[in-house]
Formats: sequence, structure tokens, C-alpha cells
Amino acid sequence: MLTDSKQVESQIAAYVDTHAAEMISFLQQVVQFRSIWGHVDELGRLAGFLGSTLQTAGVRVDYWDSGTPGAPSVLGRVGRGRPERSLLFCGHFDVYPPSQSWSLDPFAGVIRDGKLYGAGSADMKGGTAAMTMAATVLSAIGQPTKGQVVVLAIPNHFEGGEGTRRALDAGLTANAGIVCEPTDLDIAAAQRGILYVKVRVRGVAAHTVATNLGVNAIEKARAVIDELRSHEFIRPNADEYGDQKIVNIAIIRGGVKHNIIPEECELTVDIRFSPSTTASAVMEDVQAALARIRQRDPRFVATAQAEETCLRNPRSPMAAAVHPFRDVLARVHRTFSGREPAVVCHPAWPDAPVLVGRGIPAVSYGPGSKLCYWDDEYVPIDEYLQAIRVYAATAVNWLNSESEE
Amino acid sequence: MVMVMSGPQAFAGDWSARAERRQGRLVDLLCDLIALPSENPPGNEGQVAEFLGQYVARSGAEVRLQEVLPDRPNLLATWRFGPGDAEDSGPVLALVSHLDVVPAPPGSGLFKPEIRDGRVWGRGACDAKGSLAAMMVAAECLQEATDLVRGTLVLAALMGEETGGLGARALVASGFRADAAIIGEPTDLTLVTAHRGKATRRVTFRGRAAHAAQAFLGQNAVVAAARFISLLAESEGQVPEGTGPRLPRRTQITPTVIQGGLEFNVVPAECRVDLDCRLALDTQLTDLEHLLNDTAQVAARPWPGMMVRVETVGKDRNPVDLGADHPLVHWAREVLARHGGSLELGSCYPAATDQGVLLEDGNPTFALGPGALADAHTDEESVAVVDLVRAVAIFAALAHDAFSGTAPPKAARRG
Repeated sequence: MLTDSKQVESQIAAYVDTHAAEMISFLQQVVQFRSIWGHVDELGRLAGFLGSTLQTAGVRVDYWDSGTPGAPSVLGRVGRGRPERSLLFCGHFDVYPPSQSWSLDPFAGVIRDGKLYGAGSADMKGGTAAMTMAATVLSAIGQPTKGQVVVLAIPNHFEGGEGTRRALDAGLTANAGIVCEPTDLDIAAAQRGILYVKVRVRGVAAHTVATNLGVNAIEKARAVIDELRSHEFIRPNADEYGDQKIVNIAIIRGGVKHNIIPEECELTVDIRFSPSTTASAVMEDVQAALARIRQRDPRFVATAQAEETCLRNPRSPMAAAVHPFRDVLARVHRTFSGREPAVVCHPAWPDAPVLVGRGIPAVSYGPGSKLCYWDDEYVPIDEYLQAIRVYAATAVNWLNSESEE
Repeated sequence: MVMVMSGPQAFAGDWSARAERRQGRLVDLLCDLIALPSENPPGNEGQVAEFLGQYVARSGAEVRLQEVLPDRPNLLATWRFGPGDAEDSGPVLALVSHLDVVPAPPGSGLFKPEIRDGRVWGRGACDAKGSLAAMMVAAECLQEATDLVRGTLVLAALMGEETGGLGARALVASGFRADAAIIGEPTDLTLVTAHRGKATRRVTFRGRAAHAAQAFLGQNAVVAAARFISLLAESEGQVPEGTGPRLPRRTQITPTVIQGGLEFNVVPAECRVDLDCRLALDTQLTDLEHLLNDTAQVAARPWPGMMVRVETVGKDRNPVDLGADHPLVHWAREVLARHGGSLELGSCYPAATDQGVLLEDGNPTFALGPGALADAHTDEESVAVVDLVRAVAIFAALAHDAFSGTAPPKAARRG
């Protein structure tokens, strides 16, 4: 068995080495699609490109409803084994609109010093391309012999993993899952939850020359910003992750006219919280923060509520769990890289908790930095190729051995 | 300088009684004006101007529309009294107010005037259709006077007052001249000689975007803007460390519009704050510039890469003052004393009005009108009927004084 796995690992490594140029070119083409979240036509075209690439390699492909009309999810299956034994790879191909301050063309896929640059190259076209290539490798070498590898690429991760949720609702199952989001090739076994909160601050409108009659909602909103950035609000939970909240005061809108004291000011806040707490506990913290302001300032009037998509698709946190497939992934990683993988808590929000919520043990593991910057985002090419090897070898090792158990 | 103070007047000028007799007509007129929405923006003053023109034409006014923008005219109604010989046509008294009102929230019903509790309610009731109605009725009353020697009464109903005084600027640009101009604005019938300056500034903070999961790697422009607003508020009490000169007390800076950020999970790279700045008489614009620039720099300091820009929006208006000792002021206070107006002198009207434009252009101008500024622009805008009536009497009495040889406008100007 061990000999088998060594053989397969060598075979995979050799295949990737031989086809590295094509695989890099494939990633470059994927990055060149301007598949910005919400741009349905381009997302649909990229879905077609991913699907046809898989199909050409002999992977069975279906297009599933992603919840975004015009842009389907791509579902590929490799392996002739029983479909009830499967390892699921998840990726998304929507990207955020690049900012104006890129120094490179964000959709050119420029390669420089071993890095491929592009909007979404790390988050997460690198991972999605790697899992797609891993499926083609497996198809080429006739693996796995037991069970099935399923790759699911979705066009609407930014809606709280909408496409992943749809696929699971439609009956997709698996025995384990790897979400191919960028983790620096660390194993992200846990992750933070996210809560988007809208705080609406109410003032009293008046002409700006009658300040004694008005209550300025913008000035009151300032107190909310201060309070949500205070230690009292972000303080760490006493838990194994030891993490404080990460708070992003994301959007502010207030006032209507130059000479009217603003009656309303709305803040949208992104709060990342530790796996040891829950969205509703964080919401209570927000309410407590508003109550503290109210105590100091009787004229402070504000309401807070979770943003609509957070209610529909909760971005739950995920606590680390031990599972045999995680050990296989770690061992394969060690084989190819010569070092132990770090096991970390992901600061962003891959779809892994969606899988875990449906009883599918999952971790995130992928090429590119968890700390990707907004501008001049890139994925290291060696990490991309490494991910292809690790994905393919993990699938074979785990599925083949699991089936024998 | 010749100041002719006449003896007992030949005409019994009981303007209060005349105004009271017209109360019903006055209230109806104001309701009609309110019911013609002239929201600015966008500023569709055409309909009100037309209505107003037809109304004043019935009392013999010569009506002229000055088309400032398409369907956005100033309306000028002129009545000439006396022989009108070329040598001395007498003083020109201008009653000036504006046609436009600030927008009302949709569904607020503010364009359906109501009469209750002795008040007229609706958009423009006090700012400034109440003044307009009082001026129109005052001109009507004046037709009953039998002792007018000479003079010209101009009712100038201007467009665009709420958005910077485009109508007033067009008026002065066309060569308009008055010996005395009265701006009808809600001053609670208090005589106001001085006009605060106004400046609008847009302060833009530009930091660096980052993914919210690593919010600490970004430079959050919204947080910087919030810090700026805090520092500004503090600067009213004490000067924050490292900022510029403290502004005189009555100068007031109000953040009115703020906008920053695009996506939930991106650290906002840009945030802009609009500031409404009202300058006290002794404040220079350069003081304001120093304070804003210095405070913005201090606010941005915690983020090394944070850029900040202060821009001017619209036209700055310096503070201006007719002066409490101006002969017109003495005269007008006497008239007010006789007709139930306030004897107090409102030193500096806090809002920007067309008074600033007319004063800057050299027309002796003060503001005086029914209603309270505190009610202006609110959803509860209203004016007391008793004040409307009082305003009619005061406007008519001022015009009568001016045109019957009693009043100083011409003399004051020549002096």
C-alpha cells in the first residue's frame, strides 16, 4: 500500500513536471477572464472554459444551477468507483473588481519572478485552476481506482458561498472536502465567522444654522465607530484561538444636503470573530456597545441589525476537528514539500463551514497568501503547481485507502 | 445731508388695521403659493413666478420676468408713485424674497397647506413664501395711500436662493439698484443687519484598501474621517494639539454629508465629508482654511500613507454687515416699534440669504420677515397668521414712509 502511494505520488509529480507549462498557461487564461462578481456573462464564459477543459481531459462534467442565472456552477467527476465515496474540491471563480491603484493590468496574468499577477489570482483562481488541473491529472493517470473525486467550481462565492449551498441542496454529497482557497499551503482547519452589521443612527434634521434644534446623525455615528474599535468591543475571547475580533468599518452613508443637519447615518461594519463565539453573541456585543453610548448620551438613537445576506447565508465560524483525511493531506503535503504543514485558523471565509454544516468534514488548503493585498495580487507559481500535486495525491491516497477500510 | 421729518401725516397710515382687514386674503394667498411646489433642487420656480405675476398685475404692477435659467425666472414687479419726472423719481425700495423652497420628503404632504392653531403649515410657510405673500399684500395695501409723493416699489421674487443665490446674482448683474432693500426671510420680524459668511468644504481622506480579514493592513479612510469630525468638534472647546488658530465662537462647522466605502469586506480607501461652515463677522476665510487643513492633517496622522484633500464646493460668501448705526436701521426700527415688530436688533442672521449678495453689491439691505428660522427646512414648517399680518403692516408702513417724503432711504444714500 505504501509502495502504491509512493508510486502514485511519483507518477503525479512527473506528470505535473511534464505538463507544467500548459498548467501555468491554463491559470493565465483563467485570470484573463474578467469574471468580476455579478458580471454574469463573463462568469458564464469562464464556467464554459473550465467545463470544456475538464471534458477534453476526460472528466465527466455537469453544469449546475448556482443560484445566479446565466452563470452555472461546474461540477466534474473523476474515478470509476462508487459515487457514495467521494472527496470534494471546492473553488470559486468570481473575483472582486480590482481597485484603480493596480500598478499592473489586473486581467493580463502577468508572470514575473515566479509569480502570476491578476485580480483574484490568489483569491482564488489559483486554487480553482489547481483543483481543475488535479482532476485532469487524475483522469490522465486513471486514478482514483476507488471512489470519486468531485470538483465544484462556483461563480458566486461572494454571496456567502451561494453556489456551494445550492449544490448541496441539490443533493451533492461527499465524505470529505477540501476548499482550495489561498492558505499559503497551510491547512486551515478552523476559520473565523463573519457578521456584517448595519447600524442606523437617527438624528433630527434641521437647518444647519439651527444646530440647537438638530441632532447630527453623522456626529453620533462617529461615537459608534469609536465604540466598535474600542478594546471593550474587540477584546479577545478566552479560547484556544485567542483572537480578538477584526473590525472593518466598511461603509458609511449619511446626510442628504449641504445645509441640512443629517437626520440619518448608516454604517456597515464587517466583524470577523473567533470560532469559539457565535454570530448571535457578536450581535449582542454590538447591542451592548450601542447601549454604552446611549448611557453616556441620552440623545443617541441607533438600531443595529445583521445584513440581509448574513441572515440568508450565515458566515458561521468553524472550529478545528480531527479527521483521517486531514492526516492524509498533511502527510502528502510533507511528502512533496519536505515540511510539516502549519494548521491554522483562516482569517477570511472560505466555504468550508458550509460543508461542515452539512456533515462533510472539510479544511481549506490552497496556493496564494491568506494575507493577499488588494492591489497587485499574485499567486506564486510553485505553490500553484504544488497544490495540483497535493490535491491529486491526497485524493488518490485517501479514496483508495478509505475504500479498503 | 437733508433729513426731512414731516409733521403729522396727511394720510392716516393705520397699516395694522388695513393689514388685518386682509387677513383672509393673505392666508389664502400663502396657501396658494405653498401649493405650487417650487422645490430647489431641481428648482422649478416658473409656475410660482407666473402665479405671482398675475396676482400683482391686478394691483397695477409692471411685471417683468428675468429668465435666469430655462423656466427658472426672477420675477420683478414695479409700482411707480408720484409724477415720475426725470430729475427725481424718488427712492427705490425693494422688497426681496425668493420663489424656491427646499425639497420636502416624498409623501410628507408639505405641499398641501393647512391652517390650524393660528398658523399656516407647509413647505415654504416661513422660508420664505410667508414673506412673499406679506410683501404682495403690502403692495396691494399701499395702493390705498393718497399721500405718496414719489418713489418706486420693486417686489423682487428671486429664484435659486436655496442653492447659493443664483437669482440674486443675476439681479445685481443686471444693474439692479435700490436705496433700501428688505430681504423677506424668517427673522421673527426682527431687523437683521449682518449676514454670516458661508463656505462649503469637501474633505476627502484617501487611505489604502485591504481585505477585511486583514483589516489591520489597510488604512481605513472612514475611521480617519470620523477622527477628523471628532477633532473638529473638540476644536470648538479647545484647540487640539498641533492645529491652527481657534475660530471665533460663533463660527460653526457642521458635517452634513458623509460617504465612504463600497464593499462590506474591503477596508474603505476613500471617505469624503462635506462641511457646512458659517463664518462669524470677525472670521476670515483664511482662518477657516487653516483650521480645516491642520485638523485634517492631525486626523490623518495615525496612518502614514493617508492622504487628505480639502476642496471648496460652490461659492464662498464672506460675512457682510450693513451696520447697526446705518440711518436705514434707525428708521426701520422706528417703523417696527409702531407696528408690533421686535425692537431688538438681530445682529447676525445665522443662515445664508440673498442679503449677502445685495449687500456685497452695495445695496443697503437688511432682512426682516415673519416666521422663525428654526421652523425653516423642517417637516413642521409653519408661520403664525398674526405675524403674517404684522409683516404686511410693517412692509406697507416702510414703503409709505419712504414714498411720502418722510423716510430716509434716498437721503441716507446720498448722505
